[in-house]
Amino acid sequence: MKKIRFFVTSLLLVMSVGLFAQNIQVKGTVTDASTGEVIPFASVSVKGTMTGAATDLDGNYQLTAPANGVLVFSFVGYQNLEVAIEGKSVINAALATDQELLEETIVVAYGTSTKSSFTGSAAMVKSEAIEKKVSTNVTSALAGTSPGVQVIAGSGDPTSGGPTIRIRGVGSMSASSSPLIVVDGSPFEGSIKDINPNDVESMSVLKDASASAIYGNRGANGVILITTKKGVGDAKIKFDARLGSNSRLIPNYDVITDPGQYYETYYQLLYYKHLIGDGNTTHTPAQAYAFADQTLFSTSGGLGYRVFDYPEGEKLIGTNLRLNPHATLGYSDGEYYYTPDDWYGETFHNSFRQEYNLSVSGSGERFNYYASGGFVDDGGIIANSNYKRYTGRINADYQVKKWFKLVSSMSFSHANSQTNGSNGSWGSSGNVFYVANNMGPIYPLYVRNADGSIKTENGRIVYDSNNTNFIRPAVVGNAIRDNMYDSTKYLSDVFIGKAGAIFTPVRGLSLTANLNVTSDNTRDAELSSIFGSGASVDGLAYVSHSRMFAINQQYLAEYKSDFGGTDHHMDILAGYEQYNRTSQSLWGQKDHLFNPLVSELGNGDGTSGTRTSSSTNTYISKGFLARAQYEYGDRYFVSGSYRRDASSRFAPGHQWGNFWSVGGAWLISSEPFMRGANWVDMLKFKVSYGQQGNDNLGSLYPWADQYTHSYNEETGEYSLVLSYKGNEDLTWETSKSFNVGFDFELFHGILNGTVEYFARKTENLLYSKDVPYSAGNPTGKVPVNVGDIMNRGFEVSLDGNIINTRNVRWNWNVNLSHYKNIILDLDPSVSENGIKGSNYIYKIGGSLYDAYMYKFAGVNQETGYPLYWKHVEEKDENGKVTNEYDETTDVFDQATKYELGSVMPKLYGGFGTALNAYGFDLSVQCSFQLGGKYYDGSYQQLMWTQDQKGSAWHKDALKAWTPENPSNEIPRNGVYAEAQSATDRFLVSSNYLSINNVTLGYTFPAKWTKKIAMSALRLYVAGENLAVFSVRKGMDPRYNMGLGSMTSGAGLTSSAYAPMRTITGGISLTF
Amino acid sequence: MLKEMKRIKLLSTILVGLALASCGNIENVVPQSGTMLSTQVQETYAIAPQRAAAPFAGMFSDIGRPAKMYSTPDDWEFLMILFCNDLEGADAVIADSGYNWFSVCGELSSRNANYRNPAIRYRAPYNMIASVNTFLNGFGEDVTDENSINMMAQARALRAWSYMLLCNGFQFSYGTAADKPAVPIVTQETTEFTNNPRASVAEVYELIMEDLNYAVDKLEGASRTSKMYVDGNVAHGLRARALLEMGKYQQAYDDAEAAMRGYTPATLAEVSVPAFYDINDHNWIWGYDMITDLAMNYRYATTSSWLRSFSAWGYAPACQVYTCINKILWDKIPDSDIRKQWWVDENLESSLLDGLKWPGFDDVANANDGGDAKLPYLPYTNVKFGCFSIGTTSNDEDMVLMRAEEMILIKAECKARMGENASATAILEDFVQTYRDASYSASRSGRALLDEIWFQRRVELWGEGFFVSDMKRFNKPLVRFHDDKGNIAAAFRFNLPADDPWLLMRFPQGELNTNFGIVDNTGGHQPVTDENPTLRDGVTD
Repeated sequence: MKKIRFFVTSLLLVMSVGLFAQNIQVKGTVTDASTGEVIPFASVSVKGTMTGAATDLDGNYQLTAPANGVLVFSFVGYQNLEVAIEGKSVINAALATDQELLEETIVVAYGTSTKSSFTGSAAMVKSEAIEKKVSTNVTSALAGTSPGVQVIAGSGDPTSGGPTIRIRGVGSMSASSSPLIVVDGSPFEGSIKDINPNDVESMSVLKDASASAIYGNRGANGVILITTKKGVGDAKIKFDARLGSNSRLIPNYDVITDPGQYYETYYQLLYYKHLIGDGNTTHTPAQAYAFADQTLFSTSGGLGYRVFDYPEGEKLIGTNLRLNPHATLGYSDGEYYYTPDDWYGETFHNSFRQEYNLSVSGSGERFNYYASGGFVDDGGIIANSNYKRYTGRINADYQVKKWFKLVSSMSFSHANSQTNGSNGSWGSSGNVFYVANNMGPIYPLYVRNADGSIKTENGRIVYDSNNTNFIRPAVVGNAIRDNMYDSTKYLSDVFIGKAGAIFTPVRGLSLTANLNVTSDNTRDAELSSIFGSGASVDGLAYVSHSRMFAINQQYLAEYKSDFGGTDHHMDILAGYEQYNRTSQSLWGQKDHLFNPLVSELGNGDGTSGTRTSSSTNTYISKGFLARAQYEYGDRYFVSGSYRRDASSRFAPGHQWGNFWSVGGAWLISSEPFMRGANWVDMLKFKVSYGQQGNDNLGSLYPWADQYTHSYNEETGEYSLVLSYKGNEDLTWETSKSFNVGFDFELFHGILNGTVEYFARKTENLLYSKDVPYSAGNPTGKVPVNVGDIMNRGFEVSLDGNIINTRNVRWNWNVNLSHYKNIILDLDPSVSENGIKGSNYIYKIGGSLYDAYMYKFAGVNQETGYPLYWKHVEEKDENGKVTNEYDETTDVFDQATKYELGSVMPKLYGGFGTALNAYGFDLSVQCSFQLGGKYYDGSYQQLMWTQDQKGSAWHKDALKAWTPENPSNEIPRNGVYAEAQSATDRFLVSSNYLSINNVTLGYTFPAKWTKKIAMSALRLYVAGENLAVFSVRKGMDPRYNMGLGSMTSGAGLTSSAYAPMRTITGGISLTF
Repeated sequence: MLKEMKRIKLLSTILVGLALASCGNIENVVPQSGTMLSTQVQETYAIAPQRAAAPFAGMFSDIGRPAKMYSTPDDWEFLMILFCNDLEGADAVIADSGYNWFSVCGELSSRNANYRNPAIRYRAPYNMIASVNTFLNGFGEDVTDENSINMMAQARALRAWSYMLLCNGFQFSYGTAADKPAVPIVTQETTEFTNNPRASVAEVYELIMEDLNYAVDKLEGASRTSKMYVDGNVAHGLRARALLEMGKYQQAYDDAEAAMRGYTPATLAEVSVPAFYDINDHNWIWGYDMITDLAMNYRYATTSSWLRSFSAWGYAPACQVYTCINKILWDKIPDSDIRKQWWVDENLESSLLDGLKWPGFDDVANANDGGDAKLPYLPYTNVKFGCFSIGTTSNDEDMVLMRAEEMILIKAECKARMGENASATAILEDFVQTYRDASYSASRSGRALLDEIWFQRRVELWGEGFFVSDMKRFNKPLVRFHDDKGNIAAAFRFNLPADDPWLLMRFPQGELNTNFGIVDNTGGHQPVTDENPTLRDGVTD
């Protein structure tokens, strides 16, 4: 309460400033300079005073002003105009539209700023660039265009909720490193795909503390401000239609596709396994052939299937280890006919994408409106995978009184989508991607009758799911079949609404109350079909409903003054903000479906398999904020901000944190001494420092011990067990950011840019600290505030116009980022040796991305076994190390893990160009990465010949060591080696170049289109996600973030929904 | 100006009023769900005091709670430890398939600090120990209340059992390695966790005996509401196991006898059908009562999914990773012994399956629905462990933890070890002839008596988690194959000498990273196919 009273009092103090003078009556009309139309509600004020008036509906004003004063006319969207009164009693003003100034505006926290006065670091993406992207997620437009921003798509699934975004590196060890997303001023925690990119006017990425510290809570990892469109000027109707095709972008790895070659390779594996073994086993060639013959088609240790016919009494693979020349593809055992199918080709297909957007916008007398409707249908590259979204939006502002304005926006999004349930899970036989990418080339997809025709049952195709006389050694069931018959359907309804009131009781002061609401209702219905994965329970229906309701309240007071026309400009903001979010879920499942096609609980007749549950969780944060900005003479800019925030994630007593920032900028180009430098359009130096917070450790209640319970119906007893050990002392993780840099515009627009250096130190890391397992903690971890990390680096962003004439405009852009992550401090208990994981090591001086893996050292030329490096320490009787050296070993268990340094790229960025000439426009946007490493787990799996029998093998397996064709790079197939352990053999360069977008368009000349009452008509073709070049076919290192393993990979692996390429043609009409 | 001031005042008041009205209670945000915070637990106890018994039952539910630590099909706590103790032995075999989540046991590649399988086997007992310690700390110094003492005694029995399993994994037997390091000791007094070195086997057994003596003392004659709990019989039985390990044979004999008081072995008829799934069976002294709701939470992480061959929601039937018996042991079971039928033969036949049908199919063994629920059995697939119904999907079968038959075999072993071979033979023959094989004779097999007892244990207790501890106690090599390479996959086919250090588990990375007192086990190497072909164990020779 004390704080609030202080806040009110300070507001009132600010109010009482004011100056008075001798006055005359002045009146006039304010008009638009280009159209001559009157402008209502334009502001007219006497420069340097609090005196002012607004124009009426006819654009007229009247006020009392000093005879020697200066009138300032202003209105949103127009340039300010100053006119000296000089005793005149009628002064009409024609205001010029503010197009150029709008370009300069940067959307910042709780308002806007101009490029020259902004002290922080921000990257901005505007609607033109967003509209060019053929993407359902607006944040994907940040990829390659914004320095310091990494955009990591975890999946190509059209239903995925948008990419993961990291701004200036990973800021935390265990807590969230995701930026805060703010839509039209309110924190947004829904799915980004519920915002139609076509409705977005701009995205600002706030990267440093001075820009984002005022968001205190959750601002530590940067802030993305999304601003939706508003109407400006004449009514405009815009229609845009795009039709195109989606296809798989990255092909599969170079796998063995010839069934005969696959059998040969496996036969050789078996043969040498017995003949050579580990070098000590003694089997004769005859025994080895016998073993291979006996095992080749067996289910345990063999391939399970025979798909070749060959003469009775002969063998499929001869003693020369080659396919019998008499062998023919296709084999019948009398009951079935077996021949391999192309699983990959049968699974992936191109699909249709269509998108339509219609908007109406404009600003009238008291009104400013934007209304839109959109529809997108984004098909996936597998069956039963698509995303359909219907969106509608109305943004409307209404000037009720000259001192009172209402702002509102409402958007609604309805999505109807379908996806495949097991996307992304490694090794899952239900994952259609994993199965299609990794199926050995000898297996049939369908069951065939003895005559070779595909078997059907009640009209349905019978898929091969080990239901013939052969059984695959890996991959049960049939994921392609399941993908046809099972289904996962999502329906979501998302409403985002904002209502705000802005009071301007006196000039310079505005009081704002904003209420933002997000309501997300999503329903998921999953069918495990009786013909697919639900056979054992005669079909299973799972239905869940989740409801998220978030409400954000904001009360702001802002006062601006130039102290009566002086060179001093002051802007003070103070406010209170509170965010409440309630997430609820309800789900149930029933089995024994009467109708095999309906995935509703009412269709389930079983009772013993019925399960239901529901839950409600709440999160609250609230805080007081204040900001002061001071500007002197358009040259010196200083800003400071403070926020005191509380989060319900911490225990009472530990909930409040204090966050602040200071920043300064010096517009050097405005200094008198720069007047001679004509080639400098703008040059600004800026520096900032501040402290931000992070509360997001995943759990909503990390401070508390948590329990789960159950009931035993037989004994009638409840049981309760500890499931999470909390820490009541837990509090904010804080990050301290320093930013320094130059913004410049040189050579009349040919070279513009920003160069920045940043250092961001995160302290009191929210860290899930490993505790000894012997301490018996149920999660093995305790949340603590311990350790410091640092991200520091530089960013360069350059752009400019090479040609800028009436008919030809050609501009370019490039951005580069480099940063390094350093661990500065760890928990004292582990600070000496670091924390070792299966593939990483965290140690002081190292980074969160330091690989810690076994080192491959070639091949034992006697046995074909892989060799590994081993570190040996010789010790004396006191345990003191007297000698240490490295040697190789072919016993994997004796191999040593080595620290292999950071895998993060040294440099990443993007570049692009756009050419407009005589109505044609062509633009290209690319991104790249250099100097990093990528753990190619998918390749390791394709080379894991020991345990992946029946799975696809990479063609490199054909170059494996054999006694006849020794290799020092690829060990003998089938040798037990590192299994799934991480080895540097699979750590490869992550360099890539990708072409993200190419667009070619033609805008018809206005004199033609005007004849059909159209103000603009443009036709275009766009290619999205066109190509990726990496060091190995099939590998997609674009989304490399950190260390991978065989089962997860570092980026998009063969288990994930493969990324899509989209080629689209479109038409854009404006009336 | 006055008007403006008024307006400002009014607006400010409204705004501040709104701001205040919106202050939700940030200091009292709690979930409304299946998860409760400690404050909510206390509230619940206050208004519904009968719920305060729940943490006690919770300890017992943790013996086989599916997917508690990792959401994976191999995470089923103590029951999974028992399963691994058989899979790391010679007698239980799962196919070398991409769906065998326990292939690390078959390969013995489980000696890897970063693998999940050994981590579960380390963490589950220590989690139980921590629960017990917390539970014990909840009582004051001088507890006189009988009910409290009963619960404390049961908790300490659980702690003793946890340490027995840990010791067994990380060191050789008490008889051969009493002074060698086993595992760190954690009791309710322990405060130093980050530098807690391994205690010797003898030291750990000292604690085990303290707990078990207390349990036996306090639980003698006590009743229990369910056989999932520990009563006097169970305490005696656990102490019988401990004493047997420690070589105190007479005491072990006495305890075994006390443990089975009131319990009789399953009859020939009862084991002539798939059995061992119901805690109410009269031969079960102690069992895990699987709560249906817990099982259905993650049905793949249950004994029904892996050990049993009758579930329609399991890895074993759907992926043909049935738990089979090693042919070299099965071949030694006389045809006259009903237990020969606990596993199907190479033609997938067993009398236990007579008259049984898989829903929608003619029989059970050959039923093949294409791998959605059931693939055909493999030769030597076990049908010993049954389910409440064939083709069940609820996977709520109970698991036996101690039964009368084991106590009989302990008694026989004690007698034999004390040199009383005649008594031992009599106990053995009496049991087998009455309940398993009327024509049984202990000497017919030609094995030494102790080997014969081990053979009986291996057959009778197959799949119940005794192999590794028995092998170490008998100080025998691991013998998985002979000249007849049997049915064990090549990747799992090797033998190891009795003192091979590879038989000892390794500490998980999470412990090594944080408990600096640990010196890990070393030595040995990942065995390779057909290694040590000449080793024999006296049972399957």
